[in-house]
Amino acid sequence: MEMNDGREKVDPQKHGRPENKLMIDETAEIDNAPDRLKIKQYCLDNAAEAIFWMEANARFTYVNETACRSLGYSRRELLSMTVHDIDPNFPGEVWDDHWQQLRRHGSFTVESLHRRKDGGTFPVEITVNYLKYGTREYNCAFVRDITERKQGIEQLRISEQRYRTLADNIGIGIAHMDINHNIVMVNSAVGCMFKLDPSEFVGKKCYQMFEGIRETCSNCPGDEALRTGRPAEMEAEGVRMDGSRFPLRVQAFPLFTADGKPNGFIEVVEDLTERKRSEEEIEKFFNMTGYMICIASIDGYFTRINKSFEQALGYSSEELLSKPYLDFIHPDDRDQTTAVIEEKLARGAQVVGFENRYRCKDGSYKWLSWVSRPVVEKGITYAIAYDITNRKRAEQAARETQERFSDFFVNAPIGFHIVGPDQVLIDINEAELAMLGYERDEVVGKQKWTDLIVPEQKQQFEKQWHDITTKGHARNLEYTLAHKDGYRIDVVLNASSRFDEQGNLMNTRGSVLNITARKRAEQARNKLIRELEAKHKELESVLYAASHDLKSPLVNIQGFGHELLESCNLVRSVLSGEKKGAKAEKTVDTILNKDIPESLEFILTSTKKMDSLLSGLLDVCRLNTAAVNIGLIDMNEMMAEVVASMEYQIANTGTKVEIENLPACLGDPSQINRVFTNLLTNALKFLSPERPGRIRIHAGSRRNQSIYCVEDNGIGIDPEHLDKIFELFYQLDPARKQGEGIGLAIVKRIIDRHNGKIWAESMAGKGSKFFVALPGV
Amino acid sequence: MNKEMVILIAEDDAGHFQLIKKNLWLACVNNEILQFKDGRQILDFLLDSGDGTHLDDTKQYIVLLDVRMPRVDGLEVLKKLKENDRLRKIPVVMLTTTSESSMIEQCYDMGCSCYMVKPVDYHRFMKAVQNLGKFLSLEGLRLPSIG
Amino acid sequence: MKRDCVILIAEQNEEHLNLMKNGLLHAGVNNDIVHFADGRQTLDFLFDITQKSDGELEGREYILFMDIDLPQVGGIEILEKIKADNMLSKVPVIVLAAADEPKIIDRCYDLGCCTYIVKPAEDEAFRQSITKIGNFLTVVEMASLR
Repeated sequence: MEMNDGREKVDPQKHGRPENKLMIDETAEIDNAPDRLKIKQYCLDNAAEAIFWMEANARFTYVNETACRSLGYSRRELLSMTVHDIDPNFPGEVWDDHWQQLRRHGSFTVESLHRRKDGGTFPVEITVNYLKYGTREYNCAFVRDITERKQGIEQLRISEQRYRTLADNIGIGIAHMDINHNIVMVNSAVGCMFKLDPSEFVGKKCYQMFEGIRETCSNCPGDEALRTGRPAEMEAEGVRMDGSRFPLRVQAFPLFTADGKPNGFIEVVEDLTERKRSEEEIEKFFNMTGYMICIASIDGYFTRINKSFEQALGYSSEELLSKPYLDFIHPDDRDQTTAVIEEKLARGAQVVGFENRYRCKDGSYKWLSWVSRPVVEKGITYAIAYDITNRKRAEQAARETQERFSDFFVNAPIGFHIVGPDQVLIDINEAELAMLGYERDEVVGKQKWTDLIVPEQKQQFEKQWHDITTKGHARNLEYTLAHKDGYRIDVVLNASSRFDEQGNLMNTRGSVLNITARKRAEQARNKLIRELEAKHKELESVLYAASHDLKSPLVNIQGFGHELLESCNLVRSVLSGEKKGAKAEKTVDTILNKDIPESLEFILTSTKKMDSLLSGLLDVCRLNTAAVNIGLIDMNEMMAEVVASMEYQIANTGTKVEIENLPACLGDPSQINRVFTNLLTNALKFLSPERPGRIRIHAGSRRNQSIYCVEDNGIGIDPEHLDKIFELFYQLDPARKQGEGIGLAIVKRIIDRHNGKIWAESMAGKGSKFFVALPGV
Repeated sequence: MNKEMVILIAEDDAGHFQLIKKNLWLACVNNEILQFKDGRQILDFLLDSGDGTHLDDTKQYIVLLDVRMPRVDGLEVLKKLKENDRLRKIPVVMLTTTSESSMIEQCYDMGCSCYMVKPVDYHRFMKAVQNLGKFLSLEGLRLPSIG
Repeated sequence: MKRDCVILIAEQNEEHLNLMKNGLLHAGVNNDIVHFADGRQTLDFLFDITQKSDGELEGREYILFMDIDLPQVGGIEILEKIKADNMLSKVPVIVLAAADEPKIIDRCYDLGCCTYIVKPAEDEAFRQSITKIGNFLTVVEMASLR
């Protein structure tokens, strides 16, 4: 019953407390009336409860000790106070209503607050009783301090709230059943799992709600827990209202009353859906092909292996799990494997990259690389193996190739070397060392390959080096290297560069072929070709000049030959009588004495000319093939000889010949003789009529040459012709003197073959100087 | 034909000259023919240098020039002529043994009127010279004056 | 004159052209003849030659008979232009003209013509002159153009 001022009315029925109507008349029989009264008074005064008597005006008429004590007032003080003073819930305004209620009901209990003298308040339970004596009305109130009770109730409430919060918010399901399997309570987690509101469960059977069945589960964990007194576990399937199922795990805890009687059980329910899913995923990973995953125990057996293991090795999982794994390992690798297990895995250290061989069912072996993680407390190791058989094979092949290459490198007859990015030699084979005359330790790590190239080609190589290291290769480069002893060798270099993944230069390999011999041969051949070409050209020009100059006389021979014929015809015609008389005579006369001799003269001259031309040509040709016998020539001696041989012409022309001291030279004596004879002859030919001839022969030395000069004071040569005079068949002045113009050409050729030089200086009308330079001594 | 045409023949070979002269005559060329034995001589004549005879500027000239001549050769003569303002009008016919195309080109380059090769075969020689003669005798042939 | 020497005739008079062709034939000249009726054509053809490469020219030889009196571009101008060109100056030019003018004659020789021929008035005489010229040409060497 609720009072409209907020006080709580305690239903006496609920509390089970019988109504207390205090009837004075019903006190126990005590003989002594004043004693009876004193006893009563004593009881009242010292009762444990606080007792207050008040009248309708709310004023206290009587208060007991406890009342005073509880409020902290003296009796005198209290008896001058009203209810309103001590009870904030019963102010004056509500008193009349209260008194009315009191009259009506007689007795009831309320909760309220009392205020002590010090101002503090405490909660109280008040049982009020209406008493009427005659016309006088009294309220007898029994007041109990319910502070503790209230506290207890509060704590219980807090405790319950905590419990409820925990139960509701925990991810795990909690259900409370009584011994008859009726659900007392489920938390919100259970509600979620079964997709129902928690309130739907209350009062229903647990097997009905959780399993969807009509009777207790055969292995009900709750019963087991109650029977054994200990927690019981079970994995089962939960069935929802809509029929869907999910895996769950149940732990049941028994509840007992204070005196040990079963009082129901609490079940902790775990939804295993997620965990099952995770497990499935892990299973998938575990069996992922390509990676051999396993768990091995410390006792030397595989405890779990995935499919890849079976596939890789060819055994079934039973076979693999039945024997110690060492059995499958290659005999040579067993010791190492054992060592790793004992030293690392047994101590909890991870192992990465350990390699050993496992035998396959077909007897072949596979190389495996292991990553192993031990869990020492559990005595197991988790491990993944990678099949590296192919890699190992490739390594083997590479090693073999390397050996083959090494063999080749060392023993090949061609030079091989490797240089680093700085061009310093990293390696070099025997052949190249032999080529260059060095020992290995003189060059490897110490010299750059460019150091071996001759200085004038170094720069060129630097350019090529740039190409090699950017393009990556160079082919057939020719270089000259310097042997340790100083002489040169010609080589052909082929180079290729190696780069790493970033494109940086790692090294450059070169092969070096010694082509010195080849080059020499080539050079000799080229020289020969050049010489032949030069000779050929010369002969060609000779032939050329010849053919032209031979034509000329032929024209005459033909022409005048024809004239002769004509003359003959004329004579014939005269003789045959066609012409008669004086005219005829004259004609014959002319023909016989003029025409025919003239023609013949021309013919003969021409043939002579041809003859001398041809012999001059022959001379020139012979000169080309004649040997040049170089020897030391005393020029003073020779010149004297030459002059002596021309004594007659010299004297005849009244010429004076002066010879100064001449240095010696190197040459073929007979040919040099011819040269100066020719020059002297020319000088004599071209004397000036205006003055007596004077020929001076003098010489000087320059560098390693002796330079001779034949100087005359003759008619000189026109400057325009100075360079032409040495040409074959060139004639300065045929009218002057006989000559086919071959002389100077021959002279020049002789000088050329001596590696000398001949040239002329002249001033027309004054004289000429002919210079001849020959190798000196 | 210009009766005043004078044919200057620069030819060092006496035999050649004779044969040329004869064949010109056979072709009815009756004009005055002057012989020069080398380049120097003909240059002296044309350039009014030297002590020989000189040009007559009332007459008209044509030059037959051999290439290979002593002292001054035919090319040199041709060059000097064509350099000379007055003389370059004179037509120059090269008449020589050389048949080299480089020589032929060079002569035309230097301004010769035409180039003739002296054949060795006499019949051809005759034909060549006589055709030249007939050509020179053409009624309509005109020569420049060098006045 | 080589077999493949090309005879160029710059002549506006059709009759004269025919006479010339005839006259040349009589001299035994069988060479190709290219004819131009005016100076422009003549020049165009000639300067076309200068554009050709050595391969195309094949060392071809040419000789030009040219009438002084041509429409569009006159003979004198043509002669000037020809003799000014490095390549074309090697082509011998035989000038045929109606005029007998010493000044023109001198000018032509000064410019470098081969010979100057006054066309005879009579056709037959003209034809015969051409024959003589033709005969002469058979013993003359031309320069191959390059």
